[in-house]
Amino acid sequence: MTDKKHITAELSRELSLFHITMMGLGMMIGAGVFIGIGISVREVGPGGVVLTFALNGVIALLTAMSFAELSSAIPRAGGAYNFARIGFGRGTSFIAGWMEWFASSVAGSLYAVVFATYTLNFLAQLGLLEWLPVPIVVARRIVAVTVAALFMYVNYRGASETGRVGAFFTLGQMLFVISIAVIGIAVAIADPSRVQNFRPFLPYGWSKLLVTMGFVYVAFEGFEVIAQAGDEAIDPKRNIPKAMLYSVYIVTLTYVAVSFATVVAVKAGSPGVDTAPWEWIGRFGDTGFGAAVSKLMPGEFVGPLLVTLAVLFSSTSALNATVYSAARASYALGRDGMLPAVFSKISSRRKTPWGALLFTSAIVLIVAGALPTEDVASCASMMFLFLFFLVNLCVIRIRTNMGDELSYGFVMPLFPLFPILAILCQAVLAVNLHEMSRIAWIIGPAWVVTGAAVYVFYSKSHAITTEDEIQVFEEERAPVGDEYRVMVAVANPENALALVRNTYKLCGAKRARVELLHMVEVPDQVPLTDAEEYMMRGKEAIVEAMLYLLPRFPISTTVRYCRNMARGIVSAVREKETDMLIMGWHGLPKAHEFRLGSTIDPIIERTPCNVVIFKQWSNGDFKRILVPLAGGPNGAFALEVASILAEKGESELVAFSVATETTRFDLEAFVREHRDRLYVPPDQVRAKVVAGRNVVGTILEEAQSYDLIVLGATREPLINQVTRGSIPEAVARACKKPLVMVKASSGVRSWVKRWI
Amino acid sequence: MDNDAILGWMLVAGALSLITYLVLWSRRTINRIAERGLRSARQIVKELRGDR
Repeated sequence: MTDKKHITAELSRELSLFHITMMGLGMMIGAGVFIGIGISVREVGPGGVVLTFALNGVIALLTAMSFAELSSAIPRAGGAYNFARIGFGRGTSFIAGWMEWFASSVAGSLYAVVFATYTLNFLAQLGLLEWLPVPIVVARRIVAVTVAALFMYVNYRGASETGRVGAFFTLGQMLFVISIAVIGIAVAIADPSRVQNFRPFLPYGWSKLLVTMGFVYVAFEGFEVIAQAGDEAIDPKRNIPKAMLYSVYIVTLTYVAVSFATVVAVKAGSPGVDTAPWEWIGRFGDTGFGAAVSKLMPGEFVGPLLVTLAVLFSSTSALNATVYSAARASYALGRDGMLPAVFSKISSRRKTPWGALLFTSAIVLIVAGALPTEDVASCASMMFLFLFFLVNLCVIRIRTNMGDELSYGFVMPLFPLFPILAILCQAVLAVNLHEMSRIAWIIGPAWVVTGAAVYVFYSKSHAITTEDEIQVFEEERAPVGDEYRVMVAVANPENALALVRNTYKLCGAKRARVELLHMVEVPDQVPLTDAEEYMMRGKEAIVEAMLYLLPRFPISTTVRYCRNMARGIVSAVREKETDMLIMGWHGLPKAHEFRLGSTIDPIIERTPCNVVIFKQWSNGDFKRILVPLAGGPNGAFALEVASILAEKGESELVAFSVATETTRFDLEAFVREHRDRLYVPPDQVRAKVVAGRNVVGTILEEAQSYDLIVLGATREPLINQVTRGSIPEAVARACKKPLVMVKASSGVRSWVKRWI
Repeated sequence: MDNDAILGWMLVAGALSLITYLVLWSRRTINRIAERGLRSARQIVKELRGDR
């Protein structure tokens, strides 16, 4: 026998909170703010530009909180692609990766265009472009394409996007931008008349604000790359979410201060300023920021030179990083078989993904060479709005489905309010972007639709199955019909037969087709390829249960393996469109945060069908059955299940209610109302109301003289359950008698759970 | 100062105050989760509610 020893290679953790925050800042302070300020002043006025950045900061922070929560729980590199794969599966993750690839590529085009715009603008100011044989617009395209091609080559040579040295460059870049903000504010204090530049505050009204917010949203893109440092960051669970939030916070304050400084930088009536300062800035469009800020610096050429250098430095470093990021996104799709193998080709000499870089280059160069600046920026903003929209959906989905099994370093407050707010705001901004660029509204959705087509016709059949996915190990199917579908989840092989014996009454009453499911939970440390030994015991139990049920019902059997029992069962219930799930419960929860158990709680919360859970079941007949009731669909379903388990004409079925000083429930009316659902004659059901202060204690006392207790699970919201506790779960935990807890499928809510 | 300007500056101040509050809250939460060794979302939400 060989002893398997694994040697794990790890990167050394050297990047501190400061380094990774700087990484995010370096990506964000690229080009969006430099071209965004001038165009925003033109479109929405002097006050509108400050508002644009302040309000965008709130929306970006809401999304950063989603990224922070997801990155703290799933600290692997991969970003949105990875989150979507875990949250929604392969198809959505492909679209996320596809959008991420395009968004980063177009952002790269934008940085190349900004580089060209500011460089040629400065040279034109020096009078060095008079010899140009082509119009300046064409020259800009040529320079943008050249610089983009240059950085494609740099990436092919093997450049890294960041690092400790990069942090110091970003610091210098930040100091420059902050200096502009400080000088602008100081100038406004020294000369208060400049504050009059903000009149009129919003010359074109409030609605234009949504257009500029969507347009400059790209300036808030970049914090998400911090997640890529998960393997190198010191204390990543704590520092990565902090760095994401800090970087968005710092850029928001900086952008607001810089946009304020830009507006007050121009003194009304000064030489060359023949109109209102905001109109003068707006007239320059994408170079308005540079034109205004140059006026804060001494000398005719020093100001423009410093501004141009700062913009060039920012745009080239951001260009380099976005090309790297775009190539990585398409490489990941190629590696996972969702794009042709050429995307995953690695240069044997340079060790860089030349295939992914080649296709990324094509996008960057075409967009930079063919589209006007405003359309490029709008396209980039739109793709990031789509991408962040998806990530906000992922955070809701992942917390809801996997919140118990992931280890979080941060959870956002008021969940799921913030991601929902972010989704709504991003949708509004994306819709309003059509006023800035109709081309963006054609290219963006067209790219997504193309991605969907690529997935359906290529990726779906070529994708490589990963270990993350729950896999069907063996499956025997019964002929599919329209009959009621009952799934019996067999977890413990020793109890399998007893559970199945108790469930045959339910299956018989519903004339059900039975699906026997054994989920094999394989620890994270064990590769699924080595999971066979975990499967064997389950297989025996399935065979035993199958032999018992086979003569009575049509049966399908499935053995699957998964990383988490609850998630695996919920997934199987959804996939098989089950009407009723039946399973056993061993008793007390191991962790105090669960009411019934780490498997049972999520199943009750998430399954979109009826659920019946047996605790301490026996093989005997139930002569006396107690059904504690307090109304609601779960109570009615409890009554129905109890009537199925009762022996017709023999068992005594007692509907029970506790009357307290404050609450009294009309039990007889409730039983009357639901008598059509009973599987025994109505006179076999007796209503009993007992007065008592302690509801749980009274039920437990009454339960002493019964063979079986059937309880409806609580329908209170999770928040109330956590703060106040719930009566059915308290009874279920303390009850020593055989007990069945049920939860009814909840109509529209179950439908939404199943399909969305 | 016109009404747009008053409302506009109030919105700017409100937005900056909100993000400041959220960042400080998040920072405190991240530290608390790390110090107490909390893991699942359910456990964290329960503990944080218990602190109020």
